[in-house]
Parts: sequence; C-alpha cells; structure tokens
Amino acid sequence: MQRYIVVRLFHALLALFAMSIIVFSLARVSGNPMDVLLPEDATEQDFIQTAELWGLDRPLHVQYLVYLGNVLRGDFGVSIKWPGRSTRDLIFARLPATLQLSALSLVVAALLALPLGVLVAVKKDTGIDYAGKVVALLGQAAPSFWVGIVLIWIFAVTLNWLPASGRDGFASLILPAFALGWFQVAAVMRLTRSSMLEVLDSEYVKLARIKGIPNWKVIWKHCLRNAAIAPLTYFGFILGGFLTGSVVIETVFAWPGVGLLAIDALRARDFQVVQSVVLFFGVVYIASNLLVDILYAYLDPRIRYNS
Amino acid sequence: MAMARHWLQNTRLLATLAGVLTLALIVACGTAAPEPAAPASEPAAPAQPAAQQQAPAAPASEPAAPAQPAAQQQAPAAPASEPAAPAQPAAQEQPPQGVQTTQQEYTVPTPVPQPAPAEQPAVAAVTVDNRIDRLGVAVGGQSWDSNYSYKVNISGFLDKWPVLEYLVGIDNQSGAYIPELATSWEVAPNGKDWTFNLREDIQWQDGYGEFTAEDVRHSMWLLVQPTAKPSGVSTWRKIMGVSKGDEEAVVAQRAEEAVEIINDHQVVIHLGIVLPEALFNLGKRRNLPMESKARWDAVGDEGMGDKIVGTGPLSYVERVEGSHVLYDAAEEHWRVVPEYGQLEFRAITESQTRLAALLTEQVHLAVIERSVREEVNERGMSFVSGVYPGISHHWTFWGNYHVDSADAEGNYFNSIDADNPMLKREVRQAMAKAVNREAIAQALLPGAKVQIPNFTNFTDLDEQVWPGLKNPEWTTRYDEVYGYDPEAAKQLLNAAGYPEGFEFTLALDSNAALPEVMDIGQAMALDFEAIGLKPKLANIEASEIRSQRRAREIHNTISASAGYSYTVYHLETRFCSCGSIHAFQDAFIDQKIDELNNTVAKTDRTALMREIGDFCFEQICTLPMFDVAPDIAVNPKFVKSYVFPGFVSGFYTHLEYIETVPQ
Repeated sequence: MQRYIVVRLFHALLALFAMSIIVFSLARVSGNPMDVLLPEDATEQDFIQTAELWGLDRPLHVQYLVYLGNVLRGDFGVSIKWPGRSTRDLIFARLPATLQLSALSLVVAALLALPLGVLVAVKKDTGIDYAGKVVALLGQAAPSFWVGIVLIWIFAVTLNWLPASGRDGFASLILPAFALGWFQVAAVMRLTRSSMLEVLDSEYVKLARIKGIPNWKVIWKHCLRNAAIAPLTYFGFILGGFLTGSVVIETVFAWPGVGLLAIDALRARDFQVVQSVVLFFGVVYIASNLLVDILYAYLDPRIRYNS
Repeated sequence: MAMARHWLQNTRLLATLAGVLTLALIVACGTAAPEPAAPASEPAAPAQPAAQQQAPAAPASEPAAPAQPAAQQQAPAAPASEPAAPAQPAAQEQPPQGVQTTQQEYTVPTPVPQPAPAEQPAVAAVTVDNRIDRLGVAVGGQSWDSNYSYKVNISGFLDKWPVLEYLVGIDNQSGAYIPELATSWEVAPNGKDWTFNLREDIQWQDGYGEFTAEDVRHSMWLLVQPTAKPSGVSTWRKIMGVSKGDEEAVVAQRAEEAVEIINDHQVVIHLGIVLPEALFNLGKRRNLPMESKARWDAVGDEGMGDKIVGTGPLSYVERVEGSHVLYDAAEEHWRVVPEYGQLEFRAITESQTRLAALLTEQVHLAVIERSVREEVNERGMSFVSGVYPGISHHWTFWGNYHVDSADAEGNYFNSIDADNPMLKREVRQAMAKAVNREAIAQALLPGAKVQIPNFTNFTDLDEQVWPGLKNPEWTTRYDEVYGYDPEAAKQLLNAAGYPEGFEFTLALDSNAALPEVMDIGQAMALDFEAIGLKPKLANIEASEIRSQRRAREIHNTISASAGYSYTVYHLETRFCSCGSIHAFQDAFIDQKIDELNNTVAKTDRTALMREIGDFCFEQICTLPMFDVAPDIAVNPKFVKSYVFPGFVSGFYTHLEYIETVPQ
C-alpha cells in the first residue's frame, strides 16, 4: 500500500511539474505582458525599465526557473489588476466563497442523484426509468451556463423567489449551487443506477427477500450500502470538478469566488493571477484524483496488488 | 481505516452528515456576507427647507448662495464667462433614437473658461427628504478592482468618482470644465504656469483635516512617485518634468518646484511643458483627483489601498473584491447631496445576469447590451444616453509608416512593406466607401444615439474647446470622399491596380466601450467582399496589436478603435512618429506636431491641428465609422433622471446628481 501511495504521489508531482510548464508558457504565448502592464503612451524607456522590474528581459527558461523557485517558496507573484495584492492572498480571499458553493453543490448532487438512481434502478424499464434517462440526458447535455441563465429567469425574474446574482446570504447560494450540481446529478444518478442493478441481481438480495425482509429495507439498507461505494468515490472526482467548474457558474451568478477571479484576471490579462489560479485548480484536481486513487486502493485490494 | 469503511458503507450516517453540512452552510451563509446596516432602519433626518440649511462657510468675499430647492441643484452653475448650458432632457425624455445621418448640433458652451471664471458662489448644503435607501448600479467586471487612485488606469475610476473630487470638474449637462475644489484658475501667457485658487473649508473624510494647497502638491507627486502606475504616466512625467528612473528624493524635489504654494488656498503649477490645454489633464477627464497628504502621512502607501478617502458627497463603506463597492451618501455637502442613502456598484460580468438584476430590482441602473434594448424597454425599463457621443469608432489601416524610424542604436530604417495595398490612397478610399455605416448602425446598434459622419480625433467637444478646429468642408464633402458607394469603391480599386481585390487581415477583438465591435467587423467584411476584397477575419488581441504596432511590424491589416480622447493628445500619440501607436505616419504630420509643441497662442494651435485634420481627411488616414453615445438602462420606478457627459473614460460619472423617485 505504501509503495502504491509513493508511486501515485510521484505521478502527481510529475503532473504538477508538467502543468506548471504549460501554464507558464501559455501565459507568455498569449502576448507580451508589458503591453498590458504599460499604458498606451509608454515610452521605450518605460518598456526597458518595466522589463527589468518584472524580470521579463531575461530568457524564457530563466524566467520559468525563477517562477518555479518562487512557487516552491510559496510566492506566486504580485497581481497587476489588484495593485499591492499577492496572487496567493487573492486566491485565499476568494476561496471560502468557492468552497461554500462547491460544498452545497455536492450536497445537491448527492441528495438528488442517489435517491433518483435508486428509484430508476428499482423501477427498471418503467416510465420512471425512462424519465430518469431523460433527466440524465438533459443533465449532461445542457451546458451549465445555459442552465444557470434559465434558472435565473425562472426563479429570480419570473417567480421572484430568489436573488439573481451576488453573494448576499443563503438565498443567493441556492441557484448557483443547483446549477453547478445539476451536471453531476446526471452522472451520479447513472452510476448509482448501474451499481444498484448489479446489486439487486445478487444472491444475498434474493435471500433477504426470501427471508421476508421488507422491500424498502432490502433496497435502502442492504442494496444501497453496497451500491453506494462507486458513486461515493466518484464524489472525490467531482469535488475537484466543482472547484474548476465554478469558473462558469460563478461568472453567470456574479459569485465572487476563485472561478470569477480567474475570469476577471483573464479579462484584465493579469497573467500572474491567471497562472496562479490555473496552477491552484490543477493542484486541487490532481490532489482529489490522488485521494480517490488511494481510497480505491484501500477499498479494493486488487488495485494496489496489481499496481 | 475500518472506521472510514464503516462510514462509507453506512448510508444513515452519510445522510446525517449531509444534513449537518447543509445546516452548517446555512449558518455560514448567514454570516459570510453581512449586509451593511440599511439606512432605512435609521430614523429619517427631519426634512428641512433648503433655505434653512447650514451651508459650509463660504469665503468672506463670496456672496451667500441663494437658497434653492434640492431638485434644482443638479449641477453647479457654469462659469460666469460661459453661456448657460442648455437644459438636458430627463431620463424619460430621451431624444428620438436612431441613426443620425447628418452631423448633430450639440449646442454646448465653450468648455474651457479662458480667462479664469469668476469666483463661484458657494452652493447651499441640502438634505433630501424621501431619499431612496440604496441605489444599485450593475456594471461588467471592473477592469480594476482597487482602492488606489494612483495605481490604476483611468478606466478604474468608476468606483472612485463618487468619493474623490478634482480641482476642476466637468458639468454633467454641458461637458464644460467647471470649478470643483478650485474656485478659479488662470494660465500665464507662457502656457506653462497655472494659478489655482482653492475652495476653503472643505474637510477630508475620516477626519484628515482641511483640504489645502499641500494636498494639491501631494496629489501631483503621487502620480509620478515610484509606485504609481496611472494612465498617461509619460504625459504626467513630462508635465512634472521628471523621468521614470528618477529617485524618490528627486521626484519629491521636482514636485515641490512644480507646485508652488502661495498660501493654503492658492497654488501655481509650473508645468514642464507648454500645455495650454492642461485642464484636460488637471481636470476630471483624467486621473488627478485630490488625495489627502495627512492621510498619506498617517497610513503610507500600503494603507492607501484599504479604502478611498476624499472630499466628495459619498463616503466609502466597503469593497468586496469581485462583488461590489458600497458608499454612504453625505447628509450635507457643498456641491450636492445625493437623493439616495447608499450607492452600490455591483460587478456582474454576464450581461443576461445584469439584466436580471435590473428587472428584479437588485440594481436600478445597469449596463446592458444594445441588442436587447427592445426587450428591456418592453419590460418597463428605459435607456439614458450620455450627452455627448463619447465613443468615437474608427478603423486603422496598419502599415502606413511613411517616416523612417530609428532603432535603439540610432540606426534609421524604413518599416514600409511595399506590397501593402493600404499604402495607396485609392485603396483606403475604396475601403472607406465600401462600408454602409448607416445600415450597420441600424442593425447592430438599435436605438443608440449614433452620429455620422465622425472625424477621427476631431470631436464635437474639441470643437467647443478650439472653435474652428473642424473644417466645415469635412462635413460637406464627407459623402464625396467617404460616403457609401460600392460602385465608386470598385472603380477606385481598379485605378489602384487591384481590379480583383486583394487579401487583407481584418482584426477582431472585444472592446469594453463598444461590445458590438466584433459584429461590426463581420458586417464590414461583407461590405468589403461586395466590392471584391478578400478580408481574412482573425481574432487578434489588442495586446498583440499593441506589440506589433509599437515595433511597426503590422501591415495590410485593419483593426478597430473606440475612444474619445482630446485632439492634441490623440494626434501626438496616434499619428506622430514620436508617438507610440504609429497609426499613420507622415513627415507633414511630424512637422506640424513639432510646431504645435512650440506654439502657445490658441488660435495658432487650432490652425495647426486643423491642418493635420485637413491632411488626414484628404489622405484617408483612417476609416471613420460613427460616434456613439454610451448608454445605461435604468429602472424609471427609482430613477427620475440621470445626466452624464458620456465622454469621460468609464462613462458613468456624476452619479451623485441622479434624481430619484421617492419611494
């Protein structure tokens, strides 16, 4: 098990290293940062001095090594758009909003997807099952920005039940959390359905029924307990997905989290913040994948032995 | 581990956990974003007739201001030397909308008072009865999100105008320069020395004492000290006579020399260059707000980022980055008391969400795409346009570097690409005549206040500053030289040697001032194709264009601009080979700009600028499109009128003068 974890950690670090190169390169390829840093009427002297100040006059590989060294020391650079703020401070200032949104989205996804998955499995090949398939199709086919705007127009503009945007208390959290969670509802529901179908067909379930245990107890206690392992480990993946997927939803709902920070920084061409946020998202995603891998290995010994 | 497995397999425990998590979220949300105390919960101030209110002590030499009802105190009186500004229509009295195919007459007074205006009578302070609690304004994501005034460019001033005041303000109705923290001013015949008399008894917010001449010197120093990054930083350095590499002590020394303090309420600003139009820089159109020296001494550079402190009619409450900025309205102010208790800027990037926020009364004014204007109107909202068409839209023919340039080592070279068809006047004219501006404006800017013709860098506002700047022939001959005529355009292409047309790049990039510019570019491409040209549409970011044009490496390409700068600045920056944009270079332009920089007399300066204008009109230096007035959607249930000049970068100035509908 320990060897498995060490190998996976090594892979994760390798992925992070590769990602840091990609992020750094993309930030530079998209244009000369000095054309963003300096005003229109800047002189050649301004360009030379600014390049020296930001280290942009050095060769690209030297710039990268300096950047990597700073990152390893926890220094992610200073923002251009937010004068005087370090990009690390900016990310941590926005993180609570994103975590809040992701957590509720996770709850929404779990509370909707697990019962629905069980229901459509139990009612296989009935109208409910077909309806569930339609829901799954809609959930995975409808882009989250579209779902977000539709929700705003129904629940904020038409019904006037919930606020359209902003972060002004719990009411303002409901629509973005639902919009973010909706996409995963479909995936988790399908996963739960297939796991449930497998379990429902097993011998111990048949035995439980023969023994006269009430049907609800067979389904919700004996079947779901085993069928939930796959969707629950999948939640590890989607937590990372929620954080990164928040870029779109936070923009649609003007939710001031890390995703909106990324968009604002992109609009302002604040390459320091952009590369820090992308790196942060990458770390979260890789870390959540690593955790899931370890969890899988723990739950299923075949994986760690094979690896 | 066994415990963890047990938890994973126990659905009841998981359900309980989910419930607890939800409850925790509810609690967290309840405390995460505390709403500032709503003014509605406070007892309303007793209403007083305006005449009974205490005005700030006026200078002894000034006569007491006549008492006026609050609603009539929309703007300070225009300088005595200027004709009265025409009354502007209220929000619900918009002029007929649509494309204006002839030059619109803007009957505005001369904005630059010369000589100095008479001392302004103090405006009686007013309190407003029945003010609404909060006025919300939804804007797209802010290009800057900071409390620093001297580290952001001019587009980052939207959220600073409510708090900070300037020496010289801008009348919201006429666009004229008017006294704000300076009561009067005059420029010496040398065009360099400006004397400002300062308003007395103006107090800084947060108890930083009285506004004095020291604050003027400090504010100018702030813009050129090492940590500053304002718009037009090069111009500011020229004005102050400093270089970027100068050490802090040198900059401080120069600031002392540049701003001579006669007494607490009079300064003489000695500019490093001749600049008879310095009010453009020293006034509200640019980024020289007054900042408190006492505050700087107390909190330093780092503390200046904590909040905005000024002398304006609104005071800073909080900024939540990426979300909103909130202000409290003053109960008393020498200039105006807002008709609302609080002002809130909400940053909402997505246009549809801004519209939803407007319709659900989360906000009362919102920047909305023009394409949905009809729908917005149908839902009971209305649009308010700026007084001036402050978005001057044109396209640049890149590659016209008709002046040899020097590299860093002083070696001269020619940047011309001889194969670039846009070097030929006939080609540029053909392209100008190929575009059906009216049809494009009608289709893509429905209901907007559009002005055709427009002349790049020569605006109506500038005509008011320099009468005679625009040659009347430009208007009368516009159709002949630039007017839509595809047949004539084809003949011009034939004459230029391109009967089959040619390929060129049509660069597309988003533009905050004119979001429709991508669609406009695509519509123009169709017009170009109609005369046989072969435009290649390419998404090229503005920063890439900037890199290429700075190095004079962009050729056979057109790209869009939408700005409303003033003529002198624009000519030098855009067209002089000494500038940074290199939009159209020619030895004639360089010579005239050189003369301009050594000429003080206003009439002579006007004549020189007009000569450049004549040259550019004939040479088709740019492809002019139209001027558009910026607009904003308002909820008439809350907003009775909002008048803003529309030519200041960021557009939505003078929010403190909004008339609201009592609730």
